[in-house]
This record gives sequence, C-alpha cells and structure tokens, in this order.
Amino acid sequence: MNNIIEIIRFTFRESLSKKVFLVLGIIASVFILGIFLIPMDKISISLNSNGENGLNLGENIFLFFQIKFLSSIGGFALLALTFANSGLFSSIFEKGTIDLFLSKPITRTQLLLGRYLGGLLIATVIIVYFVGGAWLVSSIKMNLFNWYFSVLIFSLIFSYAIMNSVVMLFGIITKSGIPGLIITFFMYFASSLLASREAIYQFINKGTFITIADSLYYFLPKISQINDYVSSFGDTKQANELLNQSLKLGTDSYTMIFSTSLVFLFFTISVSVKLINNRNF
Amino acid sequence: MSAISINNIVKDYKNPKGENKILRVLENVSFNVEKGTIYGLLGQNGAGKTTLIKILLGIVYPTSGNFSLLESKQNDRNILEKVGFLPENHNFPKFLSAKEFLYYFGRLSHLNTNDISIRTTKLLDMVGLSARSNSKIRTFSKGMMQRLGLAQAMINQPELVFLDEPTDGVDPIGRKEIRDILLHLKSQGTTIFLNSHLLSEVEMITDRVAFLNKGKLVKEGSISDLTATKHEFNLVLSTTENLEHLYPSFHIKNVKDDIYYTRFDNEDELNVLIDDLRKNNITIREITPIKNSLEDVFIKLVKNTGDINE
Ligand SMILES: Nc1ncnc2c1ncn2[C@@H]1O[C@H](COP(=O)(O)OP(=O)(O)OP(=O)(O)O)[C@@H](O)[C@H]1O
Ligand SMILES: [Mg+2]
Repeated sequence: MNNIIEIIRFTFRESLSKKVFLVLGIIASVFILGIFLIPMDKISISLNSNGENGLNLGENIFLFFQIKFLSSIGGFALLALTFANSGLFSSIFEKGTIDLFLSKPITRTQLLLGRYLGGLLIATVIIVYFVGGAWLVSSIKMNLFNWYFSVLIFSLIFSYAIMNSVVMLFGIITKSGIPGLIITFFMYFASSLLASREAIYQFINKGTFITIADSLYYFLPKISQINDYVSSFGDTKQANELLNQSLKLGTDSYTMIFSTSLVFLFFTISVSVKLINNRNF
Repeated sequence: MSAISINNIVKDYKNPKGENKILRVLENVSFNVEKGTIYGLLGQNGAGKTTLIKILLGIVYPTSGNFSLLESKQNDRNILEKVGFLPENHNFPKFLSAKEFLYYFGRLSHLNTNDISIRTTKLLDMVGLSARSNSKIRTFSKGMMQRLGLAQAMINQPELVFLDEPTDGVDPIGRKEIRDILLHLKSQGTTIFLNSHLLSEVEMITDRVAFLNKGKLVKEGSISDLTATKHEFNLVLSTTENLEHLYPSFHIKNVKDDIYYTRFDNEDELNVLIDDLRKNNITIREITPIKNSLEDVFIKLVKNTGDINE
C-alpha cells in the first residue's frame, strides 16, 4: 500500500511540474469567473407558477440548464484531463526509467496502480474545482442550490476512471501515450453515437450493422450516457421530464449502463495488470 | 556466503529480424559472486551483460534457470530493499531536483524520511554534487547524471549494488573518484557487481571477472589468475654481448637497447639462466615477470571465439 502511495505522490509531483494543475486550473478559473460575470436574474415566469417541487417554472428551467451546463463542462474536463495525463503511463515505460522503478522493492502491479490512481486523483481535484466551482458560483447567484450536482461529480470521476484505464492499456501495449489518447477520444464520441443507436436503426436497418453496433454498445463504456443520466436525475421532476424528452434516452436502463461500464473498467485494468506483469523491459 | 548465485540462466528473445527463429541472448550462464567482493562482468556490445543484470533484478524474466540474491528466494522482491542499481542509459525524471530524486527513490526503497535526508547530504557530498542538490536534473551534464545515479544506487545502504557502466560519460578525475567510492563501499562489506568496457579500470578494482561472449560464459576467474602468464620475463642487463647468440637454448629476444625478453617452460630454467649470466659477469639490473593486461586476455578470448558481426 505504501508503495502505491509513494507512486501517487510522485505522479502528483510530476503533474505539478508539468503545469497540468496550472493550465487546467486557469481554464477553470476563467470559466468560473465568466459565470460570475454573467448577469443572472430570477425571471419569474408566473404561468403555471408552482411546480411539484415547490419551485416555479423559471427556477426549474434554471436547474435544468445548470445541470446540463455542468455536465458539458465536465465533458470538456474529461477530454482535457485525458489529454494532459496521456503521457502518464508511457513516460514510466521509457528505457532507463522503468529499469529504475522495477529495481525497487515494488511490484509491477503496484507501480501501475499507483500511476493509475495518481491520474485519477489529479482528475478528481480538477473536476471538483471546475464543476464544483461553476456550480457554486451559479447557485449563489441564483440563490438556488441543487445538491444533486455532487452525484454528477462522481459520475464524471467514474467516467475518467474508465478513460484513464484505456490510456493505461494502450500505453502498455504501445509504450506511447498518443494511441491511447486517440482511442479514448474516439470511444468518448462513439459512446454518444451508440447511445442513440436506436434512432440510427430507423434508417440503417441491416441485421449485421445492428449486431455490430449493439455488441459495440454493450462492450464499450457508456460514458456519455452515464453523465446524461445522472444529470437527468436532478430532484426537480419537471426538469427531469424535460431532460428525458430532449435526450430521448430510450430504453437503456441505468443499472445496465453502469454495470456494463464497470465490467469494461475491470476488463481494461485486469488486462493491463496482466500485460505489465508479463513484459520484459 | 554468496551474494549472487546464478544457475543455468537462459534467455531467448524473439528474433528482432522478424524471422520465426529465436535469438538466444544468454546460454546456460552460471556463476557465483562472493559477498564483499567486486565482481566484473565483461563482454562485447550485445554480449548479454545488461540482460543478465536485468534478469537478476526481475526487470526481465529468464527463459529458464534460476538465481538468488543475498540468499533470498527467487522473485522475493523485498530483498531489493538491500540492493542498489545504476542502469545503463538511464533516463531519470528530469523535473525533479537531485534531492527530490533521491527522496522519491529512497521512499521506494522503504527508507524513512529522516534516514533519506541524512543519506542524501552524505551521498551528494560523496559524488561531488552538494552544490547542485536543488538543481533540476534536466540541467545536469552527462557525468553529473551518472554521479547522481550512483548516489541513487547507494541511497539505501545496499548490501549488493549493480552498476551498469558506472563510469560512462565521466571524466578521468571523476572515474578515479568513482573507483575510490567503490573501494570504500567494498571496505564496508558491500558486494559490487559491475558491467564495463573499460577493462583497465575493471582490472584496477575487481576481485573476479566473468567474460560473456554472445551470451556464453567463456571465462571466469580472479584477476590475478587471468592475467598471470606462464614464466615470461623481461630482463634488463648491462652487456655488450649478443645474448640471442650466446644462449640459443633459451628463448631470448632483444626487445630494445638492453631489455631482453625470455620465456621458460618451467621456473627452474630462470635460475639456470641467472647463474649463467652471473658466471659471464653480465650485470642483471632488473627481472620482471610479464603480466597480461585484462585487455590482452579479453582480446585473445574474443579472437578464439569469433566476432559478434558474423
Ligand atoms: N527486448 C529485447 N528484445 C529483443 N532483443 C533484445 C532485447 N533486449 C536486448 N536484446 C538483445 O540481447 C542482446 C544482449 O543485449 P544486452 O543489452 O544485454 O547487451 P550488453 O552486453 O549489455 O551490451 P552493451 O555492452 O552494448 O551494453 C543484444 O543482441 C540485444 O539486441
Ligand atoms: Mg549493456
């Protein structure tokens, strides 16, 4: 365990000197400042004045946009973090570096997991600051606090855990950060495309295409759906309905989305662990 | 007590040329290294020296065979707490300062913070980097990095140190300093295993060496055994006579001026020659046994076993 903690600390130190925190921190701060400067008013749309949750329609619309907005900031943070952390694994596999790590009383699995968790922790800090900051400033301005945003933070971290595991796997296979980065980006966009695969079946209705798309859908992690679903679960029921309509979420169940994504995560991590333990460096 | 024992290690790689053949990099290598000695592993480029060290440290897996470090079980990674390593062509995290580098790698060797800071001060002083302890590694010259690597290899006061080309890129004064450091370590009981091409240096400090040629162990022994020759001498004499003609039964050759070379089949013959020379009133100013340098031994071995570029 201590070995893993040391690798996590080392990874943090590396991130600090590679200015990952600085750059992402500045981007986030500019964003949050921007939100602060936007003039926001409680427009009280008085028709239909009180919703079931005791808030008026104007307030409900705000909460609806807030969580959608936070979710898209989160999506940006995920891509930015994947980019910033893409060298996390390839850099320690470099000749002359890996030898030194592996000559220490630490197992390859510990080295790998330390690196993985280090990246995840970096992402957590950024996501909490970015999404949490945007939430806090906009909530204060509207004096309307939807604590449900914290679930979104978890789903974003979970998404990053999956994306980081893909970078890790391809980092081990190719000893480079770029292929993992490209594949992760591709997977991210594929996940939103596959989420609406049923709509696509309306006009591409070939059996083989459906089989392939379906298999891909169930195998690949459902990154976009995870976050869309979470943001549709706000405690404002009206907003929830609005969101459900606008997203056409279809029939995929929340449990299925989460569990298959979790299976994918375990799959990439275990393949990575297996590969690193069999490799001659 | 052996610090390293190696038993029939074989390592095969897939042939990099892409053919379906395998490339045998190490072939049934076996030897022991006694505790508290300096052991040199010699061989041409590509002979398999680095591969052998990497196998011993668990960085590369052997195809077959076994080994043990400090009498531990094979694959017991905890024994590495007592082992130090300086890799060849190292690539240290450039964003760290010298001090931080020793800190993180000391922590990975399970040292506590206090011990690390004491050792760091001492080691940076020993390798002559005290003044640069807070500089980033990316600002270091090649030789400075090598020195830092050496400090790193000693951070945990190891009982056994592996050094792959320790003097690579280091200037002559620095090389002498490194030799002194290694001798000092040895005097404290540390076992040192080193790979090197600089045979004259290896000869100065090692107790035993092994020669690898194309993955095979072709010779192993103590420096004195390997470099000793059979009854060959240089004589420095004061004479105007032509000794080559005077003693045709001895293999005497005039090397230059008054220096003569001679070789005997057994040691008694030397004394017969001395008696004869004295009888003829020839002054003997010097008799020195000829030793082969390690380099001579190495070149002879390689010539006998063929070239790497076949
Ligand atoms: N990962 C690998 N895959 C395939 N072949 C390898 C691998 N690593 C080393 N080799 C081969 O193993 C042989 C021995 O390499 P090694 O690095 O052990 O040599 P060395 O004796 O240390 O040489 P040098 O003096 O140049 O450092 C070489 O032919 C090399 O090409
Ligand atoms: Mg080598």
